Amino acid sequence: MAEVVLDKVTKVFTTFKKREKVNVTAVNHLKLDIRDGEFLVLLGPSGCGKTTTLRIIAGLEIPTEGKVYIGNRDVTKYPAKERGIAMVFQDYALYPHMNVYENMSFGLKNLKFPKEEIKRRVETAARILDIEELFDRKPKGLSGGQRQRVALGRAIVRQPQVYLFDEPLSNLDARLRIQMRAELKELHMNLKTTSIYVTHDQIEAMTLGNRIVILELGTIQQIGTPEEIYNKPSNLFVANFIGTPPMNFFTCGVSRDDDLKFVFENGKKISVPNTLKNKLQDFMNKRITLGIRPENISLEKGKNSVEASVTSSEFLGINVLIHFKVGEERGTIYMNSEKATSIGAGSKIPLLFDPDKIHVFDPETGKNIGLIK
Amino acid sequence: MFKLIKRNYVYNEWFWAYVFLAVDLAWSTLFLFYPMIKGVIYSFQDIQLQNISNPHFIGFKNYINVLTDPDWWHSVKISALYTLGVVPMGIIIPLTISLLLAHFRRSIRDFFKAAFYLPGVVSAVVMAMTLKWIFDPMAGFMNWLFSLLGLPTQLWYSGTSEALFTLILMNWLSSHGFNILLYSAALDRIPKSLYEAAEIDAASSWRRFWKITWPLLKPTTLYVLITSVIGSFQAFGGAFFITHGGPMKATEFLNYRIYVTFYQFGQYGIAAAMSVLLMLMVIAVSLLNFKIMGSEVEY
Amino acid sequence: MNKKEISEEEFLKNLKRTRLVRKIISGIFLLIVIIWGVVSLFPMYWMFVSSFMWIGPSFTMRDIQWFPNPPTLRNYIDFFQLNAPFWIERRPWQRWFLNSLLVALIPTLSNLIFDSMAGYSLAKLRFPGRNAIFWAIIATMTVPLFVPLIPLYKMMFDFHWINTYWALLFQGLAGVGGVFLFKQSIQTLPSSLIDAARIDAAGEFKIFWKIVLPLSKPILALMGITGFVGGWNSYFWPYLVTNSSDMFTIQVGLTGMMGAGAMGIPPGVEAYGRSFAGAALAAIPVIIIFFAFQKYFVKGITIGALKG
Repeated sequence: MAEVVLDKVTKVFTTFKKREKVNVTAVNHLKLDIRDGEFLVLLGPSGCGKTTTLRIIAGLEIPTEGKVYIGNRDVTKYPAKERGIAMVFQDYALYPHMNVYENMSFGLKNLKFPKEEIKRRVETAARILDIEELFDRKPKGLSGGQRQRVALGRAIVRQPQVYLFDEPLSNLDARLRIQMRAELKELHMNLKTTSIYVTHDQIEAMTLGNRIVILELGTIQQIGTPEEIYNKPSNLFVANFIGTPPMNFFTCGVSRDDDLKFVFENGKKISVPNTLKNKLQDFMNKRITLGIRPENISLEKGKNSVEASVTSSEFLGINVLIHFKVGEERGTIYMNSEKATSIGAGSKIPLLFDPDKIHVFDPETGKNIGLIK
Repeated sequence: MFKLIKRNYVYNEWFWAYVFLAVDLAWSTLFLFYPMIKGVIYSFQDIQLQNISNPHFIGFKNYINVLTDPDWWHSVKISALYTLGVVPMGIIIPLTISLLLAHFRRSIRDFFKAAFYLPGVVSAVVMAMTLKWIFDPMAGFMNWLFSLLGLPTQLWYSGTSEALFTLILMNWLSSHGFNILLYSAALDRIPKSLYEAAEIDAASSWRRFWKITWPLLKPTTLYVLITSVIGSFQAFGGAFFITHGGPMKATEFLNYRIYVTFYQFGQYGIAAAMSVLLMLMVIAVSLLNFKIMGSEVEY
Repeated sequence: MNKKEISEEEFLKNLKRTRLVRKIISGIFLLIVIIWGVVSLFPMYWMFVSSFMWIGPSFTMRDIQWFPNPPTLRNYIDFFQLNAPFWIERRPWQRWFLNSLLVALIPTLSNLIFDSMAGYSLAKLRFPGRNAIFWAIIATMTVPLFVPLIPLYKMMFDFHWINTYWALLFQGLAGVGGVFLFKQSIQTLPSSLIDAARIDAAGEFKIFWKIVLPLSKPILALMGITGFVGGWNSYFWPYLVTNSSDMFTIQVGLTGMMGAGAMGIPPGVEAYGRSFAGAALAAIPVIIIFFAFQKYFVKGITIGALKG
């Protein structure tokens, strides 16, 4: 077991586009401390640099700059095999010409483990994963879920200091994905080995991660526990990326009558929550972006309610998703369907924002104003 | 050295990449790249079999010699005529056959594909011998057939005015197996849904060919065009096995001329200049083809 | 569009007619394909038939038959010189076939090993100079034969390799086309397999040997088969670098028997008979190989040539 430290890691790829050299910075001065035994998820849209980061940790890619430490060892220039890591790939990367047993034991054989030790480890891993019956089969004859388990087994037998997962569940169907997600979580709780998990699926990130790192354009947008990421997004990107349905955003002015107010584009004013008053002093008479999650809006009429017109509503079972417009800006409400029976397209509704859940962002920098100290 | 490589795994990958390439690279350098460059050097030298140990540079003299020789231009003409005769059929026949084949069941298609390809695995020597025999003016099958049909017998490859056409005819009859397979594979890759959509749009089969099949076969056609232009411009076997360039130089292709200059007359410098000129022509013709077809072949 | 009302009877009649037209058209198609098939296979048929036909010095058109009647083995006896008087110099046909076998086998084997290694390197490894080397290979594939051939021929002289196995076998080892095909094929293997093997602590050579090669069996088979056939059929280089009969390959031997390539005065009609016996024997191995491994020939077309 070990901690993993990335120290100002940068990776620049040089490619040729129409015969012109183009430098693409996949990872940009990344600093990251991954604690011993932690399950850390790298989350971001495709092309954000998360897989490159993982491959740098694995030793499959060398950073252009910066250093990688695993368990206090500088492993920047070590090949993959000397880093004490194991990796599970998106396409599982099982060797098609070897059977399950050979697939799982290939690494240990290369590391010159004694035969009995290999057998013991492979059998133990197979028992954990319930794939003992499959030893003689080739990957071709396995179902998606079974391949997934073999790929996991191949990592487990190595007893690595760090597990690396590169979107391992993305090739499974929805039902199997939920099951494997739970099993992975359980596995990590039993093994307590440092794990780094790359995904673009926020639900996977939320359910699996002790902490989540949100990446975009090769830089870290936010690091935090799932709750922190969800409740205190540090900037517009994170706020927009996390949560389904996504957060609503409204462009507002800030002005003072008798009290500090947000002014919507349609002229409606609502009070600024007390917690934000101090922070908004600098934004007097400027534009800000107000963010509120769909589930934090209620349909009550009051002093601070905003009028909206409903454009459509989607029945989703226990909940309903209502699409509305405030002036020209669109948004959604996510609420219990029993409370929204009479709401149809065209009807006018009052929106009351939960004052504790209002986020305010600086539209220029994207930063969450409420979190600035 | 090895320690250093071991310590830094980037250089490890480089090191092995070069190790894997080493034998092939060394070999190609010795037996391919080096002779190629040497060939260009020869073309600027006075080097002949009679005086092989004492080559010296003579500038463009070889080239001037070649370019002022009417025989050279005669060969250019012969090769160009042969190319013009061979290439259109080299596209029309395989395309037609594979379009017709596409109408049949897989088993029938596979049977005929094998039948068409089979002559291609037999050696050029055997094929040339057989064709020579079939077209023999005195005792050949073709003249026998002609007289059976009441047609006048022909001189074929031994007639000055017929020889070139006979070689072209032999090409029409014998060498389309590969391109039939190529076109058939390309036709297989065209999604059936395109034809179904066209059928719903009530496109006639003629329009379907010109609007769907032909454009989608364009990369294949370009490939076939370029390879057959390059191939037929460098035709050699027919002259080598059957006509010896004759009669009266009627089939003296560029490559045959180079061969005679080099192997029989031992004029290495001049032959080298000729082959460099041939190379330039081939490059020019292929570039022209690319331009005309306007599309690109993906490697 | 206005649709005309048609009765069910009429509709069925139309349907039948269309079906008939379709059948006729596909019959015509089949006929054309069959005719063309006969035309392309005819030379091979004629070669085999002629090898069983007695072709004397006075053979003319009038002696031609669709099928030799009666068939004779005389051409084969002549080819092997079984009846030749003892003072006639023997044709070393055993050596010809042996040499052909060597030319077909040895360069092919070495190409399989070294071209697959080079192809893997170019397909999956990252190193400076990769693109330059790849484009050099592509470029050399289009250079006309004679540009390198003349200096190469002189080189054989300088090495004193003319009329030796060195010249016969070694030059064939420099096959660049093979590298290209291996590269194209290995490129389609998922890179994650190689990454996985690296994490599994396999060395670079082990990755090649234990992962890449076993997964390249189809291309290895294809290259092995086409390489063998290509070597067996090659004539020009063996013709250039050999000058004594016992160093000939069967192809060169046949060339000589027919007096082709200006090796001597063209012999008369009677040379065809024994030459076709030799030609048939030279063709049979590759025809057997073709039928045994047909699918590889067909597959080979799509691997290297082009996509899209």
